[in-house]
Amino acid sequence: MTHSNKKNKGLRAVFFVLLVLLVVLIVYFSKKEGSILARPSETPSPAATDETVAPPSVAETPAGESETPTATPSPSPSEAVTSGPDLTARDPMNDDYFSDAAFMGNSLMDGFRLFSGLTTCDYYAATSMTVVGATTKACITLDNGTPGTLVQGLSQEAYGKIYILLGINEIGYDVDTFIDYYSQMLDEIIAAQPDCDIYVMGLTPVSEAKSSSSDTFNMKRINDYNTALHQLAADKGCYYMDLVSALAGPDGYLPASETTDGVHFSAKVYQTWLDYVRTHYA
Amino acid sequence: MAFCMIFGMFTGCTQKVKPSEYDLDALSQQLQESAAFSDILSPVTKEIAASFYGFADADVTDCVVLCSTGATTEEIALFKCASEEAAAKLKANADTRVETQRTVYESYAPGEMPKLDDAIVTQNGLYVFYIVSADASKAQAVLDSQNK
Repeated sequence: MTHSNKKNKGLRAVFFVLLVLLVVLIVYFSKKEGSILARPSETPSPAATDETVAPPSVAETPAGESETPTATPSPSPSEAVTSGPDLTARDPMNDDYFSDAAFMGNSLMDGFRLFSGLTTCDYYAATSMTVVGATTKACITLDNGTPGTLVQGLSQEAYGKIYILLGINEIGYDVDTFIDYYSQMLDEIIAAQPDCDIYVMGLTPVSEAKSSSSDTFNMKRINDYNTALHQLAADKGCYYMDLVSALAGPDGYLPASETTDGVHFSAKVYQTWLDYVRTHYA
Repeated sequence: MAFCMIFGMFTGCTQKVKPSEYDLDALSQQLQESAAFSDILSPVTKEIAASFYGFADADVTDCVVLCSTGATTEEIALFKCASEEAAAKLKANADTRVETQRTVYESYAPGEMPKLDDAIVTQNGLYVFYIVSADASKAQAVLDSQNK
Protein backbone atom coordinates (compact mmCIF):
# COMPACT_ATOMS: atom_id res chain seq x y z
CA MET A 1 0.00 0.00 0.00
CA THR A 2 2.68 2.39 1.01
CA HIS A 3 4.85 1.33 -1.91
CA SER A 4 1.86 1.63 -4.27
CA ASN A 5 1.09 5.13 -2.92
CA LYS A 6 4.67 6.20 -3.41
CA LYS A 7 4.61 4.82 -6.94
CA ASN A 8 1.33 6.65 -7.71
CA LYS A 9 2.71 9.85 -6.23
CA GLY A 10 5.77 9.57 -8.45
CA LEU A 11 3.70 8.94 -11.54
CA ARG A 12 1.43 11.88 -10.71
CA ALA A 13 4.48 14.13 -10.27
CA VAL A 14 5.93 13.06 -13.63
CA PHE A 15 2.52 13.50 -15.28
CA PHE A 16 2.15 16.94 -13.71
CA VAL A 17 5.58 18.03 -14.91
CA LEU A 18 4.82 16.74 -18.41
CA LEU A 19 1.49 18.54 -18.36
CA VAL A 20 3.12 21.82 -17.33
CA LEU A 21 5.75 21.38 -20.04
CA LEU A 22 3.03 20.73 -22.62
CA VAL A 23 1.13 23.86 -21.61
CA VAL A 24 4.31 25.94 -21.75
CA LEU A 25 5.13 24.58 -25.20
CA ILE A 26 1.61 25.22 -26.49
CA VAL A 27 1.67 28.82 -25.22
CA TYR A 28 5.17 29.39 -26.63
CA PHE A 29 4.37 28.11 -30.12
CA SER A 30 1.02 29.79 -30.33
CA LYS A 31 2.68 33.17 -29.55
CA LYS A 32 5.47 32.52 -32.02
CA GLU A 33 3.01 31.65 -34.80
CA GLY A 34 0.99 34.79 -34.03
CA SER A 35 4.02 37.00 -34.37
CA ILE A 36 4.97 35.43 -37.68
CA LEU A 37 1.47 36.05 -39.02
CA ALA A 38 1.50 39.60 -37.83
CA ARG A 39 4.85 40.52 -39.35
CA PRO A 40 3.87 40.87 -43.03
CA SER A 41 1.31 43.55 -42.27
CA GLU A 42 3.93 45.57 -40.43
CA THR A 43 6.76 45.21 -42.93
CA PRO A 44 6.22 43.36 -46.18
CA SER A 45 8.61 40.45 -46.51
CA PRO A 46 10.57 39.99 -49.74
CA ALA A 47 8.33 37.03 -50.55
CA ALA A 48 5.24 39.16 -50.19
CA THR A 49 6.78 41.82 -52.44
CA ASP A 50 7.47 39.24 -55.11
CA GLU A 51 3.80 38.33 -55.21
CA THR A 52 2.73 41.85 -56.01
CA VAL A 53 1.99 43.13 -59.50
CA ALA A 54 4.87 45.53 -59.20
CA PRO A 55 6.73 46.28 -62.42
CA PRO A 56 10.23 44.86 -62.47
CA SER A 57 11.66 48.30 -61.86
CA VAL A 58 10.29 48.46 -58.32
CA ALA A 59 13.33 48.81 -56.11
CA GLU A 60 13.77 47.90 -52.52
CA THR A 61 15.18 50.36 -50.03
CA PRO A 62 18.97 50.36 -50.26
CA ALA A 63 20.69 48.92 -47.23
CA GLY A 64 21.30 51.45 -44.54
CA GLU A 65 18.82 53.93 -45.95
CA SER A 66 15.81 55.00 -44.02
CA GLU A 67 12.37 53.80 -44.91
CA THR A 68 9.58 56.10 -46.00
CA PRO A 69 9.60 59.23 -43.84
CA THR A 70 8.01 58.57 -40.49
CA ALA A 71 4.30 58.26 -41.03
CA THR A 72 2.39 60.84 -39.10
CA PRO A 73 -0.49 59.60 -37.03
CA SER A 74 -3.68 60.25 -38.93
CA PRO A 75 -6.99 60.94 -37.27
CA SER A 76 -8.43 57.96 -39.11
CA PRO A 77 -5.67 55.57 -40.14
CA SER A 78 -6.03 53.94 -43.53
CA GLU A 79 -6.33 50.21 -43.89
CA ALA A 80 -3.26 48.44 -45.22
CA VAL A 81 -3.22 47.60 -48.91
CA THR A 82 -1.73 44.16 -49.35
CA SER A 83 -0.92 44.13 -53.05
CA GLY A 84 0.47 46.45 -55.67
CA PRO A 85 3.73 48.31 -55.95
CA ASP A 86 4.71 50.57 -53.10
CA LEU A 87 7.40 53.16 -52.76
CA THR A 88 10.05 53.67 -50.14
CA ALA A 89 12.40 56.60 -49.62
CA ARG A 90 15.57 56.47 -51.71
CA ASP A 91 18.37 58.81 -52.73
CA PRO A 92 16.91 62.05 -54.14
CA MET A 93 16.69 62.40 -57.91
CA ASN A 94 17.83 65.64 -59.56
CA ASP A 95 15.77 67.75 -61.94
CA ASP A 96 16.97 65.86 -65.04
CA TYR A 97 15.16 62.77 -63.80
CA PHE A 98 11.87 64.56 -64.39
CA SER A 99 12.60 65.58 -67.99
CA ASP A 100 10.32 62.79 -69.22
CA ALA A 101 7.67 63.44 -66.56
CA ALA A 102 4.26 65.07 -66.64
CA PHE A 103 2.34 66.31 -63.63
CA MET A 104 -1.44 66.53 -63.91
CA GLY A 105 -3.96 67.83 -61.43
CA ASN A 106 -5.98 70.56 -59.78
CA SER A 107 -5.07 73.90 -58.19
CA LEU A 108 -2.74 72.17 -55.76
CA MET A 109 -0.81 70.73 -58.67
CA ASP A 110 -0.78 74.19 -60.20
CA GLY A 111 0.69 75.40 -56.93
CA PHE A 112 3.34 72.71 -57.29
CA ARG A 113 4.15 74.18 -60.69
CA LEU A 114 4.38 77.69 -59.25
CA PHE A 115 6.31 77.05 -56.09
CA SER A 116 8.24 73.77 -56.29
CA GLY A 117 10.84 75.18 -58.66
CA LEU A 118 10.74 72.02 -60.76
CA THR A 119 10.74 73.16 -64.38
CA THR A 120 12.15 70.22 -66.33
CA CYS A 121 8.78 68.47 -66.58
CA ASP A 122 5.44 69.27 -68.22
CA TYR A 123 2.42 70.40 -66.25
CA TYR A 124 -1.25 69.90 -67.02
CA ALA A 125 -3.10 71.51 -64.17
CA ALA A 126 -6.13 73.71 -63.67
CA THR A 127 -7.96 75.24 -60.76
CA SER A 128 -11.08 73.30 -59.69
CA MET A 129 -10.13 70.32 -61.86
CA THR A 130 -11.76 66.94 -61.14
CA VAL A 131 -11.32 63.38 -62.37
CA VAL A 132 -14.32 63.86 -64.64
CA GLY A 133 -13.12 67.23 -65.86
CA ALA A 134 -9.69 65.81 -66.68
CA THR A 135 -11.21 63.85 -69.55
CA THR A 136 -14.10 66.12 -70.51
CA LYS A 137 -13.21 69.75 -69.86
CA ALA A 138 -11.25 71.43 -72.64
CA CYS A 139 -9.26 73.87 -70.53
CA ILE A 140 -5.80 73.85 -72.10
CA THR A 141 -4.40 74.62 -75.53
CA LEU A 142 -2.87 71.56 -77.13
CA ASP A 143 0.34 71.65 -79.16
CA ASN A 144 -1.71 71.83 -82.36
CA GLY A 145 -3.41 74.98 -81.14
CA THR A 146 -6.81 73.46 -80.42
CA PRO A 147 -8.49 73.31 -77.01
CA GLY A 148 -8.11 70.02 -75.19
CA THR A 149 -8.51 68.23 -71.89
CA LEU A 150 -5.73 67.56 -69.44
CA VAL A 151 -5.67 63.89 -70.41
CA GLN A 152 -5.44 64.82 -74.09
CA GLY A 153 -2.53 67.01 -73.13
CA LEU A 154 -0.85 64.05 -71.45
CA SER A 155 -1.30 62.02 -74.61
CA GLN A 156 0.59 64.43 -76.83
CA GLU A 157 3.92 62.74 -76.24
CA ALA A 158 5.35 59.60 -74.67
CA TYR A 159 6.15 60.20 -71.03
CA GLY A 160 8.25 58.02 -68.75
CA LYS A 161 6.42 59.13 -65.63
CA ILE A 162 3.04 60.67 -64.96
CA TYR A 163 2.06 62.08 -61.58
CA ILE A 164 -1.64 62.65 -60.87
CA LEU A 165 -3.20 64.68 -58.09
CA LEU A 166 -6.99 64.84 -58.22
CA GLY A 167 -9.76 64.31 -55.72
CA ILE A 168 -10.05 67.21 -53.29
CA ASN A 169 -12.56 69.02 -55.50
CA GLU A 170 -14.85 65.99 -55.63
CA ILE A 171 -14.51 65.06 -51.96
CA GLY A 172 -18.29 65.33 -51.71
CA TYR A 173 -18.79 62.27 -53.94
CA ASP A 174 -19.22 58.90 -52.33
CA VAL A 175 -15.96 56.98 -52.44
CA ASP A 176 -17.11 54.30 -54.88
CA THR A 177 -18.31 56.85 -57.41
CA PHE A 178 -15.06 58.74 -57.15
CA ILE A 179 -13.03 55.58 -57.65
CA ASP A 180 -15.16 54.56 -60.64
CA TYR A 181 -14.44 57.88 -62.34
CA TYR A 182 -10.79 57.76 -61.36
CA SER A 183 -10.50 54.21 -62.68
CA GLN A 184 -11.95 55.24 -66.06
CA MET A 185 -9.54 58.14 -66.26
CA LEU A 186 -6.59 55.92 -65.35
CA ASP A 187 -7.59 53.39 -68.00
CA GLU A 188 -7.54 56.15 -70.58
CA ILE A 189 -4.10 57.33 -69.49
CA ILE A 190 -2.69 53.80 -69.31
CA ALA A 191 -4.00 53.06 -72.79
CA ALA A 192 -2.29 56.19 -74.12
CA GLN A 193 0.92 55.65 -72.14
CA PRO A 194 1.33 51.87 -71.72
CA ASP A 195 5.05 52.02 -70.90
CA CYS A 196 4.83 54.82 -68.41
CA ASP A 197 5.19 54.68 -64.62
CA ILE A 198 2.04 56.26 -63.23
CA TYR A 199 2.05 57.76 -59.76
CA VAL A 200 -1.34 58.20 -58.13
CA MET A 201 -0.96 60.89 -55.51
CA GLY A 202 -3.21 60.64 -52.50
CA LEU A 203 -5.23 63.63 -51.42
CA THR A 204 -3.28 66.19 -49.43
CA PRO A 205 -4.11 66.86 -45.77
CA VAL A 206 -6.30 69.72 -44.58
CA SER A 207 -5.86 71.78 -41.43
CA GLU A 208 -7.39 70.70 -38.16
CA ALA A 209 -9.68 73.75 -38.19
CA LYS A 210 -10.92 72.85 -41.65
CA SER A 211 -11.28 69.20 -40.82
CA SER A 212 -13.26 69.80 -37.67
CA SER A 213 -15.58 72.35 -39.26
CA SER A 214 -16.43 70.60 -42.51
CA ASP A 215 -18.53 67.54 -43.24
CA THR A 216 -16.67 67.01 -46.50
CA PHE A 217 -13.19 68.54 -46.26
CA ASN A 218 -12.12 66.48 -43.29
CA MET A 219 -9.38 63.97 -42.64
CA LYS A 220 -11.83 61.10 -42.18
CA ARG A 221 -13.04 61.47 -45.77
CA ILE A 222 -9.56 62.20 -47.07
CA ASN A 223 -8.27 59.02 -45.48
CA ASP A 224 -11.23 57.06 -46.89
CA TYR A 225 -10.46 58.42 -50.35
CA ASN A 226 -6.78 57.70 -49.96
CA THR A 227 -7.37 54.13 -48.83
CA ALA A 228 -9.48 53.57 -51.93
CA LEU A 229 -6.95 55.35 -54.16
CA HIS A 230 -4.14 53.23 -52.74
CA GLN A 231 -6.07 50.09 -53.59
CA LEU A 232 -6.97 51.40 -57.06
CA ALA A 233 -3.31 52.18 -57.75
CA ALA A 234 -2.40 48.67 -56.66
CA ASP A 235 -5.08 47.15 -58.88
CA LYS A 236 -3.87 49.11 -61.91
CA GLY A 237 -0.17 48.48 -61.32
CA CYS A 238 0.41 52.16 -60.53
CA TYR A 239 2.42 53.65 -57.69
CA TYR A 240 0.68 55.33 -54.78
CA MET A 241 2.18 58.40 -53.12
CA ASP A 242 1.07 59.07 -49.56
CA LEU A 243 0.96 62.85 -49.38
CA VAL A 244 -0.71 62.90 -45.98
CA SER A 245 2.37 61.31 -44.45
CA ALA A 246 4.58 63.57 -46.52
CA LEU A 247 2.90 66.90 -45.81
CA ALA A 248 0.97 66.67 -42.55
CA GLY A 249 2.41 67.79 -39.25
CA PRO A 250 2.91 65.48 -36.29
CA ASP A 251 -0.80 65.74 -35.49
CA GLY A 252 -1.79 64.41 -38.93
CA TYR A 253 -3.13 67.73 -40.21
CA LEU A 254 -1.86 70.43 -42.55
CA PRO A 255 -0.07 72.93 -40.29
CA ALA A 256 -2.27 75.97 -39.67
CA SER A 257 0.68 78.30 -40.21
CA GLU A 258 1.00 77.16 -43.84
CA THR A 259 -2.56 77.71 -45.03
CA THR A 260 -5.26 80.36 -45.04
CA ASP A 261 -8.25 78.29 -46.13
CA GLY A 262 -7.18 74.97 -44.62
CA VAL A 263 -6.77 73.30 -48.02
CA HIS A 264 -4.30 75.27 -50.14
CA PHE A 265 -0.82 75.79 -48.75
CA SER A 266 2.28 77.91 -48.81
CA ALA A 267 5.41 77.57 -50.94
CA LYS A 268 7.19 75.91 -48.02
CA VAL A 269 4.88 72.91 -48.17
CA TYR A 270 5.45 72.55 -51.91
CA GLN A 271 9.17 72.22 -51.22
CA THR A 272 8.41 69.36 -48.83
CA TRP A 273 6.21 67.81 -51.51
CA LEU A 274 9.00 68.09 -54.09
CA ASP A 275 11.45 66.49 -51.67
CA TYR A 276 9.02 63.59 -51.31
CA VAL A 277 8.67 63.22 -55.08
CA ARG A 278 12.42 63.32 -55.54
CA THR A 279 12.93 60.50 -53.04
CA HIS A 280 10.00 58.22 -53.90
CA TYR A 281 10.23 56.65 -57.33
CA ALA A 282 10.06 53.34 -59.13
CA MET B 1 -4.85 133.82 -57.47
CA ALA B 2 -2.18 133.83 -60.15
CA PHE B 3 0.45 133.50 -57.47
CA CYS B 4 -1.34 130.48 -56.02
CA MET B 5 -1.55 128.84 -59.43
CA ILE B 6 2.12 129.43 -60.15
CA PHE B 7 3.07 128.32 -56.62
CA GLY B 8 0.94 125.21 -57.10
CA MET B 9 2.73 124.36 -60.31
CA PHE B 10 6.04 124.31 -58.49
CA THR B 11 4.93 122.70 -55.25
CA GLY B 12 1.62 120.86 -55.05
CA CYS B 13 1.65 119.64 -58.64
CA THR B 14 5.19 118.37 -58.45
CA GLN B 15 4.17 116.19 -55.52
CA LYS B 16 1.88 114.21 -57.80
CA VAL B 17 4.49 113.40 -60.41
CA LYS B 18 5.05 109.66 -60.50
CA PRO B 19 8.60 108.49 -59.96
CA SER B 20 10.46 107.33 -63.03
CA GLU B 21 12.23 104.61 -61.05
CA TYR B 22 10.88 102.11 -58.53
CA ASP B 23 12.67 99.73 -56.24
CA LEU B 24 10.51 96.70 -56.96
CA ASP B 25 11.77 94.66 -54.02
CA ALA B 26 11.11 97.50 -51.60
CA LEU B 27 7.72 98.19 -53.12
CA SER B 28 6.64 94.55 -52.87
CA GLN B 29 7.79 94.51 -49.26
CA GLN B 30 5.76 97.60 -48.45
CA LEU B 31 2.72 96.12 -50.13
CA GLN B 32 3.01 92.92 -48.13
CA GLU B 33 3.34 94.88 -44.92
CA SER B 34 0.34 97.07 -45.73
CA ALA B 35 -2.20 94.53 -44.42
CA ALA B 36 -3.91 94.65 -47.81
CA PHE B 37 -3.58 90.90 -48.28
CA SER B 38 -5.31 88.04 -46.52
CA ASP B 39 -3.52 85.13 -48.17
CA ILE B 40 0.05 83.89 -47.90
CA LEU B 41 1.98 85.30 -50.86
CA SER B 42 5.12 83.57 -52.09
CA PRO B 43 7.54 84.58 -54.86
CA VAL B 44 7.58 82.82 -58.21
CA THR B 45 10.31 82.88 -60.82
CA LYS B 46 10.35 85.12 -63.87
CA GLU B 47 9.79 82.03 -66.02
CA ILE B 48 6.61 81.17 -64.12
CA ALA B 49 5.47 84.80 -64.26
CA ALA B 50 5.97 84.76 -68.02
CA SER B 51 3.52 81.86 -68.26
CA PHE B 52 0.85 84.12 -66.74
CA TYR B 53 1.70 87.41 -68.36
CA GLY B 54 2.96 86.23 -71.74
CA PHE B 55 6.13 88.26 -72.02
CA ALA B 56 9.41 87.45 -73.72
CA ASP B 57 12.36 87.22 -71.37
CA ALA B 58 14.16 90.17 -72.99
CA ASP B 59 11.09 92.40 -72.67
CA VAL B 60 11.17 92.41 -68.87
CA THR B 61 14.38 93.57 -67.23
CA ASP B 62 13.21 93.19 -63.65
CA CYS B 63 10.19 91.75 -61.91
CA VAL B 64 8.85 90.72 -58.53
CA VAL B 65 5.84 88.43 -58.63
CA LEU B 66 4.21 86.93 -55.56
CA CYS B 67 1.32 84.50 -55.88
CA SER B 68 -1.25 83.32 -53.38
CA THR B 69 -1.72 79.77 -52.11
CA GLY B 70 -4.43 79.31 -54.72
CA ALA B 71 -7.18 79.85 -52.19
CA THR B 72 -7.53 83.44 -53.42
CA THR B 73 -6.79 85.57 -56.47
CA GLU B 74 -4.49 87.82 -54.49
CA GLU B 75 -1.26 88.62 -56.23
CA ILE B 76 1.50 91.20 -56.47
CA ALA B 77 3.18 91.47 -59.87
CA LEU B 78 5.62 94.32 -60.44
CA PHE B 79 7.49 94.61 -63.73
CA LYS B 80 10.08 96.85 -65.27
CA CYS B 81 10.07 96.46 -69.03
CA ALA B 82 12.78 97.03 -71.60
CA SER B 83 10.67 99.52 -73.55
CA GLU B 84 7.40 101.39 -73.27
CA GLU B 85 6.11 99.31 -76.14
CA ALA B 86 6.83 96.12 -74.18
CA ALA B 87 5.23 97.71 -71.12
CA ALA B 88 2.06 98.54 -73.04
CA LYS B 89 1.84 94.96 -74.26
CA LEU B 90 2.39 93.62 -70.75
CA LYS B 91 -0.26 95.99 -69.38
CA ALA B 92 -2.74 94.55 -71.89
CA ASN B 93 -1.82 91.03 -70.81
CA ALA B 94 -2.28 92.02 -67.18
CA ASP B 95 -5.76 93.31 -68.01
CA THR B 96 -6.47 89.97 -69.64
CA ARG B 97 -5.25 88.16 -66.52
CA VAL B 98 -7.94 89.88 -64.48
CA GLU B 99 -10.56 88.41 -66.78
CA THR B 100 -8.90 85.01 -66.86
CA GLN B 101 -8.89 84.89 -63.08
CA ARG B 102 -12.51 85.97 -63.05
CA THR B 103 -13.41 83.06 -65.30
CA VAL B 104 -11.43 80.57 -63.20
CA TYR B 105 -12.70 81.70 -59.82
CA GLU B 106 -16.25 82.84 -60.45
CA SER B 107 -17.76 79.46 -59.66
CA TYR B 108 -14.86 78.10 -57.61
CA ALA B 109 -14.61 81.02 -55.18
CA PRO B 110 -17.23 83.70 -55.93
CA GLY B 111 -16.01 85.71 -52.96
CA GLU B 112 -12.95 86.61 -55.00
CA MET B 113 -14.91 88.63 -57.54
CA PRO B 114 -14.87 91.93 -55.58
CA LYS B 115 -11.09 91.65 -55.31
CA LEU B 116 -10.83 91.33 -59.06
CA ASP B 117 -13.27 94.23 -59.49
CA ASP B 118 -10.82 96.34 -57.49
CA ALA B 119 -7.70 95.02 -59.19
CA ILE B 120 -4.98 97.62 -59.63
CA VAL B 121 -3.49 97.34 -63.11
CA THR B 122 -1.33 100.29 -64.05
CA GLN B 123 1.43 101.31 -66.39
CA ASN B 124 3.87 104.12 -65.65
CA GLY B 125 6.51 104.39 -68.31
CA LEU B 126 8.50 101.20 -68.25
CA TYR B 127 6.69 99.88 -65.19
CA VAL B 128 3.59 97.71 -65.06
CA PHE B 129 1.89 96.78 -61.79
CA TYR B 130 -0.80 94.15 -61.27
CA ILE B 131 -2.09 94.01 -57.72
CA VAL B 132 -5.10 92.04 -56.51
CA SER B 133 -5.67 92.34 -52.79
CA ALA B 134 -8.27 91.96 -50.08
CA ASP B 135 -8.17 95.71 -49.45
CA ALA B 136 -7.32 97.65 -52.59
CA SER B 137 -7.37 101.00 -50.77
CA LYS B 138 -4.43 99.92 -48.63
CA ALA B 139 -2.51 98.69 -51.66
CA GLN B 140 -3.28 101.91 -53.52
CA ALA B 141 -2.07 103.93 -50.53
CA VAL B 142 1.30 102.21 -50.78
CA LEU B 143 1.52 103.06 -54.48
CA ASP B 144 0.49 106.64 -53.80
CA SER B 145 3.17 106.93 -51.16
CA GLN B 146 5.77 106.19 -53.83
CA ASN B 147 4.72 109.30 -55.68
CA LYS B 148 5.77 111.72 -52.98
